[in-house]
Amino acid sequence: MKAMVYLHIFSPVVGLGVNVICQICYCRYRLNASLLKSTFLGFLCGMAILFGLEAIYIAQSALTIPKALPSVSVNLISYASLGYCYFHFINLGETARRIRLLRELIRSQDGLSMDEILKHYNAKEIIENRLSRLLKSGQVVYKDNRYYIGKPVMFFMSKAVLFLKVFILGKKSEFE
Amino acid sequence: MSVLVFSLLLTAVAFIVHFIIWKIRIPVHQKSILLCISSVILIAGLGILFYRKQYISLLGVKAPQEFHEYLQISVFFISISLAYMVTYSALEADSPSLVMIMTIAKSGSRGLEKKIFEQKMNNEILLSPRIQDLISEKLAYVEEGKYKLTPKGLMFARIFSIYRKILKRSQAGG
Repeated sequence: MKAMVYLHIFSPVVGLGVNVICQICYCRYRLNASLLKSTFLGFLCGMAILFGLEAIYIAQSALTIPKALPSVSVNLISYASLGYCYFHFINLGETARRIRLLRELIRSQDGLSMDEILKHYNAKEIIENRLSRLLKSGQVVYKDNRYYIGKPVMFFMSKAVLFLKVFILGKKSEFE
Repeated sequence: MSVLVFSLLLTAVAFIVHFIIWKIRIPVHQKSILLCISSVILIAGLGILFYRKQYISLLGVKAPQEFHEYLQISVFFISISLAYMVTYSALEADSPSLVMIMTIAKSGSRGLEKKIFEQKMNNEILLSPRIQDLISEKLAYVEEGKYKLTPKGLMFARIFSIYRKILKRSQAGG
């Protein structure tokens, strides 16, 4: 019973482990795997395990569902937070400028001058990469040599981030 | 119920302390201070709850009584803190994607030409601040005009390089 209690407490961490394993397997073994799809799939698999463990815990501890709900909610929020962190970790590896810069620097034995860095990675590539992603996901559409907002998900995310920047940092941009 | 109530309480206290400090003055090493705030609130909060559990209650809910409940609160608090810290990183630096989206949105039905991005978003805006971040976060240093990785930078670079190999990511990214 004690083992079950501790498994219940650490079920978000177990769920995260399953999330990571499933996401990696999907990426490695499926041809042309979409990174975003693999992340969602991993998250769902981890959540399924979490619910499974919680169900076993509720059955073994003979709790009623209303009594168990607060504790299960805590674990659900913990798992969602950990899953979000993992999503960000993958996203950093894929899109972060600092990480790309670190990877460029690790490839060079003797370091890189600013000119050498810009030869490998520069504003043009940054814009191209992002436009390519935004066009692929339909967040932006290209028509008559101009860009327009497509699906508004990223637009709403941008508004939310802007709001948080003003609320917490008191400014809209790092350049203010 | 006590785990849920007091997990939310500790999280709220941490956020309020963070908000107050940021309104007084935004620290130079923001992520380090956030980590300090989280650690202090977690340890102090759990300590107060544990040693005064007989006397503390909130909204009619008594403080957690068992050790495993405190463990569950810790898992919750650490998860939320980590999630907040990764979100905070996205607030510190302007994301080029989000800037591009807002710029396109502002142009409305007129649309936006690609050359506008190239004019507004150059190496000075997109890269120089990030290179400076690597220096200030002690991930890289400059020696004889060349940027090199510190041991900390090397560790981070290796983690992400290895992970990208595991995921079989061939595109350069960034």
